[in-house]
Amino acid sequence: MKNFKSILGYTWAVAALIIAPATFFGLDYFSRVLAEATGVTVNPWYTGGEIIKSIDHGSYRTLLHRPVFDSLIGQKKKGFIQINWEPAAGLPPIIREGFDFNNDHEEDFHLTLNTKTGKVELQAVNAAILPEAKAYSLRNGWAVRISLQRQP
Amino acid sequence: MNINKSAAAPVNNKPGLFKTLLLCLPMMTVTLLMLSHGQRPEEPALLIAFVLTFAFINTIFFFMIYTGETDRWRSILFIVYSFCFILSFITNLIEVRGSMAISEANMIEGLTPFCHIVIPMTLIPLAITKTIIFPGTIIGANASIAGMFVLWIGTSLALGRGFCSWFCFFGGMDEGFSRLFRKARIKNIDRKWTYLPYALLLVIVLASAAALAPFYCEWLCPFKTVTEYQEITSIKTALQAMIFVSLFIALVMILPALTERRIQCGLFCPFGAFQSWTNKINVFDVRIDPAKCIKCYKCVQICPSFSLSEDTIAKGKTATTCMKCGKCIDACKQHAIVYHIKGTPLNEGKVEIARRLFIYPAFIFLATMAGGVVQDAIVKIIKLVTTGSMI
Repeated sequence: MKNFKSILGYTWAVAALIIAPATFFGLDYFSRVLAEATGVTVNPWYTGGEIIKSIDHGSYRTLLHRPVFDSLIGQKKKGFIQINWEPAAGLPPIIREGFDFNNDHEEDFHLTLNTKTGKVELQAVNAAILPEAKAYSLRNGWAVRISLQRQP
Repeated sequence: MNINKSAAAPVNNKPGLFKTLLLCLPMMTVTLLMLSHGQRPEEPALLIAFVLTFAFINTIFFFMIYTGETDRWRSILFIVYSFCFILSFITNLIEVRGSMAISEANMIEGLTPFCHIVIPMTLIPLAITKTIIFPGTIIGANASIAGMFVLWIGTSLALGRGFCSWFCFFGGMDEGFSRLFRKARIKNIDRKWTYLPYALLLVIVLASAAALAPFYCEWLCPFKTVTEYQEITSIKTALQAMIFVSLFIALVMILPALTERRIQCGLFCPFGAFQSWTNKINVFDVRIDPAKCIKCYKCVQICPSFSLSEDTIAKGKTATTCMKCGKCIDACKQHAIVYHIKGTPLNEGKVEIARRLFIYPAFIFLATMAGGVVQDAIVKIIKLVTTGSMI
């Protein structure tokens, strides 16, 4: 048993000699394998969540994300919805657009975004929309996040 | 413990010059490949940085083998690595984002480099929601999330909590300040404080899971002071910045300097506490031979991570918090403390073999991590001298 433990110990110690360079030489490969095997993504509170609608306007496009209420278990009472416009080079000075995020064929809110100043105006129609909208200048366009409250 | 006292070979037997050079050849080959990425640097500044870094790293390793001392040489590279990391990281941030401050827009775009300290905070949300609660990028970017997980897994398998002395790019700051003075101004530290990192770990893991945000990064990380911090746009972000700076000054600068210990790493860092558990599964540990120990307890006084006490010495091993830095091994005049491979007898004839089997992988991690940032820092310094700007 002592010999067996010794052999195991030395085997692992020698394996460490291989693990160290392999970790660096195979970093890209192992990272890809790990990401694909786990299917893990960045939390929607940072990314804005999955895109549910893409509208092409010719020189630019609008990307509507899903409403984010995610919590560890269940849903939070307060969340947000994110809209992106890209690419930056194709954006008009003023964007005016209405959105239906719950697919009831009625406009839920209307946004006006000044792409030069970042000033954003929100007209809420749906009761879930809270009067809080913030614009973010991104490398490839603009994003706006609008606060939402969960409806019963 | 199985101690073979019959073995006659002296501990820390030093190899001759020729044998040392032979033992250094594998490390020279690996570092050559790692630092050059298989290509000869074309630009003069890159070539100078490459040559200086290669020579510096391999000189350190040469002396580690030649003198039989580990921590004395490791600490030089570890400290240089950490301070070069700050220089390299900040200048790269300013090049890419224009500022050390991270804006909400940067977070939406996933432009935050992922750091290993976040790992324990991500695990519960990862298990339940299959998402990472960090505004970074999963793969492809510099310091991607998957990349840092791979580095952490590799280092943990090979070194356990040796991670904290051979890999962590923050640890050298703490260590650097802990070596400022020749004698400790504060010698007696209540051992109850060693429970603090575990308590903090529990709190931040639960708080991060509840809020789906990395609590430690948002409120408590001292290293935000010298890396990146959230753009100050409100009272909340101003308060966070004040906490970061205060903790950095207290835990990374003043207390390590006064105590000669790694206070941030040993008494505060929740990742360090988390990493201690990897020592349970790692094959390398540090053992004390009670037959040789004369109970001077010098090792207890100098251990930077508070991993030695009268109790642990009586048991012949360190606490699970041991960072495997080798400071106690170098300091023990009786050669009673040694690197050891679990499952093998504590045989004097095998002591140097166990040490070398540990320091080769450990040094590969340190040299590779340090090599990149030291090279980059040298290039930035050359740029500053020749053009007046690092950017």
